[in-house]
Amino acid sequence: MSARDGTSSILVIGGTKAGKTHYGGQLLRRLLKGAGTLKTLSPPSDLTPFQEVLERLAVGKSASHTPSGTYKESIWHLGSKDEALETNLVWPDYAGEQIEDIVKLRQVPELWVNRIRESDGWIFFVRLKTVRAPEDVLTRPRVKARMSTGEEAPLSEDLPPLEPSARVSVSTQAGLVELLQALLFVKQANFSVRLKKPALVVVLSCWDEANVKKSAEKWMPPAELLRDRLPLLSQFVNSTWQEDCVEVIGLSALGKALLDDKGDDQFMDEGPERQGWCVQNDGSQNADLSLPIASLMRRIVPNEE
Amino acid sequence: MDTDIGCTLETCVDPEEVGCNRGFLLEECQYRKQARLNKLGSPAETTEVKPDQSPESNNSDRHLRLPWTGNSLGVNDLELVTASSRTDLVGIVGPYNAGKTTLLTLIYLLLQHGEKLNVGEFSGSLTLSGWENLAANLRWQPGETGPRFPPHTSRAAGRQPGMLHLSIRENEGHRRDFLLTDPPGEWFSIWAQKESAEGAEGARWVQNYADRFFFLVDREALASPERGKARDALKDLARRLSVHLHGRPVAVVWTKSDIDIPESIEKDLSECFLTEFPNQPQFKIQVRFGNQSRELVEEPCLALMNWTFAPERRSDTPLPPITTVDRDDLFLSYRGKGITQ
Repeated sequence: MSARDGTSSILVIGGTKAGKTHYGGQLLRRLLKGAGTLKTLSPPSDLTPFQEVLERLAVGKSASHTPSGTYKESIWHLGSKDEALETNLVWPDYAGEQIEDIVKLRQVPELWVNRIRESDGWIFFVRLKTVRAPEDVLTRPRVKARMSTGEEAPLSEDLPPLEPSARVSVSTQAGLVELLQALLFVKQANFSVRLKKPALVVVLSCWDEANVKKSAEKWMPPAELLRDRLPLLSQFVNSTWQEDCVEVIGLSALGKALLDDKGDDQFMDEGPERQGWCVQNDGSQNADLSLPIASLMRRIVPNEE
Repeated sequence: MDTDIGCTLETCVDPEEVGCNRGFLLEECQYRKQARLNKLGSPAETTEVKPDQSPESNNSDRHLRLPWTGNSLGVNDLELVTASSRTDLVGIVGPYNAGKTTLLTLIYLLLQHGEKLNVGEFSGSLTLSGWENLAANLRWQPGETGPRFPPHTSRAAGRQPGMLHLSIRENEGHRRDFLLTDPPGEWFSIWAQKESAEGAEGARWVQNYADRFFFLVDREALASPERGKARDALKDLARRLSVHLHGRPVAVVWTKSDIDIPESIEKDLSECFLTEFPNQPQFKIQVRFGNQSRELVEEPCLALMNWTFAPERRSDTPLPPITTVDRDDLFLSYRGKGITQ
C-alpha cells in the first residue's frame, strides 16, 4: 500500500516495551469515539490485535508484552475532521524484538523489507526510561592512577547497577541511530541530501516516567528533550531529514504507569479515553492522541506520478 | 574446500578470529555449515549445499543482509563508503602509547554528548559498534572497575589499519564521509627508522593514502627518564612524514597535555615541527581526571575536529585501492571484535 493509490502506509517502529501496544489501544478508542483531529471513516478491518489491550486498560491494568512471533495488521481508514487529510493507516502489531533483531542479527526479514519499502512515513518510538546514557570519563572523571592501572574502584566511585532494560549491547543511543540507518538502507533512501521521504515522527513515549519538569503549564519541547537526553540520535535525525519532514512529539499514552496484576481504580473509573496525552512541539500538553499520526500524515510527500 | 578455517567462502579469512565475512552469527552462516559438513568426511561434490537453496533459506525465511557489520572497516569494506561519495582519510601517526586510540574515543564521546561542531552535524556512521567498543573503555560499566585507558592497538601481522567511519552533514547540506585510521604505534617507530622496513607496510599505507594527518606527540614520554630518546624518535618520525606530504595538512596533537615537560624539549620540538610542518596548527589534548575545565578538555578536541572536518580541506590524494584478499593475511579483513555485550 502506498501513496500511489491515494492512500499512505505508516509504519510504527519501536523496540521492546517502547509503548506501541498501549498507544495503539488508546488511539483506537479515541478514533472510534471521534474525539481528536482524526476519526475513523469506516470501522477498522480487524480489531482483534487490540482486543486484549482494550480489555486490560478498561480495568486499569497494563497490557502484556506482545508475543515475539506475532505480526498482525489492522487497516484503519482515517480522515481529519476538516476533511483535508484522508488515509489508510496500516497499524501493525508486533513484538519489539523483531525490530531489535535487525541491528542485532544484521539482517532484515523479507516481510519487513517489503513493509519498509512500501511505507511512506514512520512513527519511531523511543522510550526515554530505557535509554540511559552511560557515564564516561568526561561526565564522571576518575583519578589518573586508576585509569592507568585499572585498579579496583573504591566504594565512592561505584555506580548502582543499571536496570536490566537499560543494559544493551551497543549503547542504546547508538543502537537507535544504527536502526534508523538500517531502515533507511532497506528503504534505499538517498542520504546525500536531506530526506523528504519517508516522513518521520519521533515519539518520545512514556513521557510521564521520563522525569521531565513542567513549568507554567508547559513541558520542555520534545525536540529539546531529545537533544538533551539523546544528542547523537537528535543530531542524526536533524542532519538526515529535511526540517519540514520530521517532528518530535511527546506521548504518555496512559497518563500514568499501570501494573499488569493490579487494576488502577481511578484509571478504570475515569475511563481510558480520558487518560493519556501528547506533548506538542511547543511543549503544550494536548489530550488528542491522534496528533502524532496527523502530524506524520501532513508530512508525507505524495509520490510523483 | 579449505575447511581448516571452518568456512567454504573464498573471501572468508578467519571467522573465529575476525568474524564472519558475510556478517552472520557464526552458527548461522551457511558457508560455515557447509564447511562442517565437508569436514565430517563426505566428499564436497556430493554434499555441496548451495547456500541460497539450503533448507534454512526458503522463501518464508529470506533476509536482506545489511552490508556493513558496524565494526571497524578493513580495506575490503572501503567500497561501502567510497562507492557513493568522496571520502577523506585521516591518518593518525604517532609512536606506541601516544594516545591514538584514546583520542579517537574522545572524538566519539564528544559527539555522543551532543557537542556542536562549527562545520556540520553528525550524520551517521557505518562503524558504530567499532566506536562503541572504543568508548566502552572510557565508560563506567555496571559491575566493572571503571574506565581505563584503551588497550594497545594490536600490532598483528597486518598491512593496513582498521578504520572508523563518520559522516558529517555540512552546514550547507552536503554529506561528507571520513575514515579515521587506528594503527598500532609500532608501525611508525619501525618506519621512522627505515622507510622501506618490513613491518612498516601499514605506516607506508597511511602515508600514501591519508588526505590529512594527526601527528601525535606523547608528553608522557617526553617527561619520562627516557625523554631524550623519545624526543629524537619524534623528530625522526616528523622528518619521515614530512618527506612525502605534498602539501597535505598535518595537525600536531600534543596528547596528555596535563603533563609538564622540560621547556627546552618543548621548544626544541616546536621548532622541529615548524620546519617539518610549516604553517600547520597545533592542539593540546587531554582526558579529564578531575575538575579540569572545558577549555582544557572538550574545547581543544572540538577545535581539532573542526579542523579535521572543515569543508574547505579538499584534497586530491588518490583513494586507497580496493584489493582482493590474500587468504593468509588475517589482518586485511579485520573488522574489530564484534559487538561487546
